[in-house]
Amino acid sequence: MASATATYGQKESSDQNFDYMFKILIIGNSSVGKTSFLFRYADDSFTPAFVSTVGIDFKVKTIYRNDKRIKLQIWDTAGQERYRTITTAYYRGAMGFILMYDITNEDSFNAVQDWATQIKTYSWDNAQVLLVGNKCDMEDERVVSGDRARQLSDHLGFEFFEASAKDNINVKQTFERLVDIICEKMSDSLDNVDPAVTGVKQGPQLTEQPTAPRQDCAC
Amino acid sequence: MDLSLLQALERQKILQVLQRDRMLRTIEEDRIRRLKQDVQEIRRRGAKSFSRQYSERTCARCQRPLGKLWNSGAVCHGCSHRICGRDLRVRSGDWFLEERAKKFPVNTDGHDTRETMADTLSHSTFFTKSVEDLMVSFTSHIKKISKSQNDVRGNDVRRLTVGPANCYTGQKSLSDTDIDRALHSPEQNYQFCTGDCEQNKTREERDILIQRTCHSGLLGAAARREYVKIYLETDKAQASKRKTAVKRNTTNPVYNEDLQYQIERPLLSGSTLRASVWHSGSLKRKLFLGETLIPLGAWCCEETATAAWYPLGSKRPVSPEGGAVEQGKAELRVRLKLGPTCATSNICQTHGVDIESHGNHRLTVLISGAKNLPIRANTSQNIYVKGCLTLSRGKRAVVSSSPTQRDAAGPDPQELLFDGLSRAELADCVLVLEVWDHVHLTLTDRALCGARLDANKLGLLTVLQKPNQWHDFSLPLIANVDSRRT
Repeated sequence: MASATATYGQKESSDQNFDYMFKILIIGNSSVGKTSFLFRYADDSFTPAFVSTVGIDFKVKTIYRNDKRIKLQIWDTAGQERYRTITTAYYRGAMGFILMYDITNEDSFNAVQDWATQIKTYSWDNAQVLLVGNKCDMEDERVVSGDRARQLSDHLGFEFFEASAKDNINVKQTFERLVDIICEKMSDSLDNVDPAVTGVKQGPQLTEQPTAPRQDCAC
Repeated sequence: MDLSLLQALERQKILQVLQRDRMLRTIEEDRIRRLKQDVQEIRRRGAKSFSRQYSERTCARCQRPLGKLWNSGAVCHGCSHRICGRDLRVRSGDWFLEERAKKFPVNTDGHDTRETMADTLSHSTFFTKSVEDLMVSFTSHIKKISKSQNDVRGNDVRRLTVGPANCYTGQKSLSDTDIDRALHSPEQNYQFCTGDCEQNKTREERDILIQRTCHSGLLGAAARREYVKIYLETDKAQASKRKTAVKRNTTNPVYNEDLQYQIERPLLSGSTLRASVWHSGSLKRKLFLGETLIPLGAWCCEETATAAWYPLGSKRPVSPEGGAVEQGKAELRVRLKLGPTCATSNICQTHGVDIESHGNHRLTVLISGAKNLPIRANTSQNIYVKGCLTLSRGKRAVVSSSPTQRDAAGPDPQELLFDGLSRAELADCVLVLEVWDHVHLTLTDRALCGARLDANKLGLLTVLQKPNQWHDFSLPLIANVDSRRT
């Protein structure tokens, strides 16, 4: 079983047949279910046992979205404070974030603001963030209401989902939504320099040959 | 619970993750390279020409139809045709790097990122071997170079040869470094080989393999023009600078050059080799890429050669006493006396005294000697001492002793006189004594080191409090002295 997954992962990561590659980071307090969330999405598996992530880890998954094959490198980070220096080093490479809290854990929700600040500090300006309240299957033990979370996500400007890695609720949707909003951001970024859309005359540089001299034109 | 074992396991685990990431990144870089090659190929074929049918809405290169809004192409500056460049930016992820560069500029802050990484590394000690952008491993192999008769020297001068040894490129890597290669991306590797020739006719070559792995996004795939610069820290003069040639358009430069120093054996033991890698940009703009300090002390007694990868980190501050620390501190022996102004008895030339004479005190600085000056012993140099007395209200007086032919033992006893001082002015004065090297046939002299005395600190205070008697000082000399008043 283990070897089967390993081979599968190997194949996933060495596959070059895709259109783009996105890097996504999952952050949040310790034990909110980041690793379970990733395992559910990438391997469709769930183990109730809690194993603390050491530093960082990642999984690769290729999805088909908007007529494009998109390869996702999803980084799972350790929530523990002592790994913070390592995990923050990866913020810069990420295009999107899943900021996770546990709906049965008040502290993890209170820390959301701090995590958002971390993103602001260490990541690019257009970092796309989804706020995810995990463990929504444990309705009996809920301490963070959906309304409160929605309010906070509005305030922070993030989209919000409640999900459950255990019962496989909203896991796929979360990732797909994140991919979509990164795609939107990507289009925006391209349009900003695209003359046909912005109407700027002869403005842009050709990206493949930004400093190409005139005589090099092969057209 | 065995914490050290746990940490070792943690480290191992994280290394495995990084290794997987590196593999993934290599594959991704390969994909992007091929994408760009495809575009190059299309461009080379020069799709749109007079012979072909011209259409406004097809790409001039690949003839692909262009959309009105989506993928509408960009206008080429050269021929005014439309070409599709957008796709490549999306597929290569360049759009993200460009966007990110708005917040973290690549050109100016590229090395900062790495510095941050290096800082992260140095702060979290148990991860010293494993963070994303910086990896280091040590390998050792012994390499006996031919016994050369030419290397025999009668005197005690050892030659230090610094230069890269083995090629460490892409596929044709050396067997003993294969394990490393498996671990680390061959993206950027630096090798230095240092060797020294012993009196006993055997020449041992010592290799330091320096590897830097760099985040692919930092400098992009842009053509790199890199070179390595080394300094020997015993001698901070320009003369100790050695540079390799610039290697162009490679992310894997190999420098097969010998950079040589001739230094004395005892000096070698305390010295450090400062090797830095630079990107040689256009218009003489240079971009610092990384640096490492290699202590040479261990090589004096060590018989076996070692090869090791050194991590290139952020710029380290030049240690104030430099390599001179271990060979004995540079010192200046001076005697100070504050007395009344008397008839001129100039023992030395004084120039540049710009103090208005409204005081009647004289500060006499007798330079009795200096030792362990950071100069090469076998070169005769003209050493002189420049005294700069900064008084209250920003007034400064500069007095120099005359240059004397001296070696490392320092200048002859000489006097520096500061006249016309008032007690009020002296209350918070600062005396800076600098040892200068007068270089023949040049206009600019070179400051070697200096020492500083503050009136509000103990040293000078006693001089002021007990006038008319000599006070002896042995001042440690440091490389950069701040002459401003505090």
